[in-house]
Amino acid sequence: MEFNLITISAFLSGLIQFLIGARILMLAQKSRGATEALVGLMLFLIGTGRFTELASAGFIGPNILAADVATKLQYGISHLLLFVIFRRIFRPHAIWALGFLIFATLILLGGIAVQLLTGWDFSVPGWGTRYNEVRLYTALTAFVWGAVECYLHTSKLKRQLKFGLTSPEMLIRTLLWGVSMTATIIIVISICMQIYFGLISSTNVHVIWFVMILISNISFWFSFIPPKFLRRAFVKWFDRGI
Amino acid sequence: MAESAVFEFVSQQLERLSDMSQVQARGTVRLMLKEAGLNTASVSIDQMKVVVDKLMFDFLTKRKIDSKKAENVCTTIMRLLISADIAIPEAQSNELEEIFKRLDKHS
Repeated sequence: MEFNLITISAFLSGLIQFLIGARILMLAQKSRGATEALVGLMLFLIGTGRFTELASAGFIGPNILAADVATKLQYGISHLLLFVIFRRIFRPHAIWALGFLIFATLILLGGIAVQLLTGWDFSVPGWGTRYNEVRLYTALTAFVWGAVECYLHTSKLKRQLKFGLTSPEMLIRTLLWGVSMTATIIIVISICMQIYFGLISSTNVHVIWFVMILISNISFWFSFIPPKFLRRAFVKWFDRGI
Repeated sequence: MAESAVFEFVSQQLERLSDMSQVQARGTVRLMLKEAGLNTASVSIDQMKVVVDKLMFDFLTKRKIDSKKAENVCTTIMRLLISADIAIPEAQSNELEEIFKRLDKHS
């Protein structure tokens, strides 16, 4: 068992996502808002997925198939939730967004069906690895969609700000969510480049993951539940033109 | 995608009060909203008031409408928007902003 940068990244990432997800879920219970509850659940599942992933790799606890299955299901459901969240927030009336959601549901259900038929060992070449690949590309699609929507929305908010229709804080927080998703996109692309194309060495990928995981999680935290001092700082920074 | 009731209302009033065709009136309101970073499907009455107040006059005079007439059109539409007699259902607001506000309120 070896504790390296990737183990630390995964553990750190899981811990932060678990804590932020749990906090948002607690706040959603008070606010009774369904969308924030979905955001909290999505992050909570990704966070706990990191721990089961570490368990399935033998870093914490024995290397068991159940942990691997749990990881894949947690990630699969959280990626599906991403499509639900983006549709609810950005495109509630768009038919194509509903198409995206149906596509993601079919990917998840299809993957589960294939695994039930062929056994749950994802490391076996064939359908198991194919499903992992498809799952990664589905996640990439979700994050690219979300990031583009965030940047488009930021651009709209910038124009609204000129007429006093929004606040600088909302603009910065929307932008930060976009930054968080961009960092996640870089992580997913680097995984694909290393595992499927062998274009990056594993050492370089681990450094990229460590930096991007920090950027992604901190940006997400500051976007959804920023500390009060930071919310005041957002406005000050904006006034100074930063 | 269905346009909001307030978009339809302002477009109809602009068509009625100016010499614009239906297509021109709707196009003008659409461009004004785009300039302000708003959507035709989700614009609210309060947002539309700001657009009429700050953008409509310039948009109308650029379309060769006499400045006095443009001012009259803007004043009339604004008056109609704030009139209690006109019942326009509130459009769906920005969901992301609402989420942030709800989370802030309870944190």
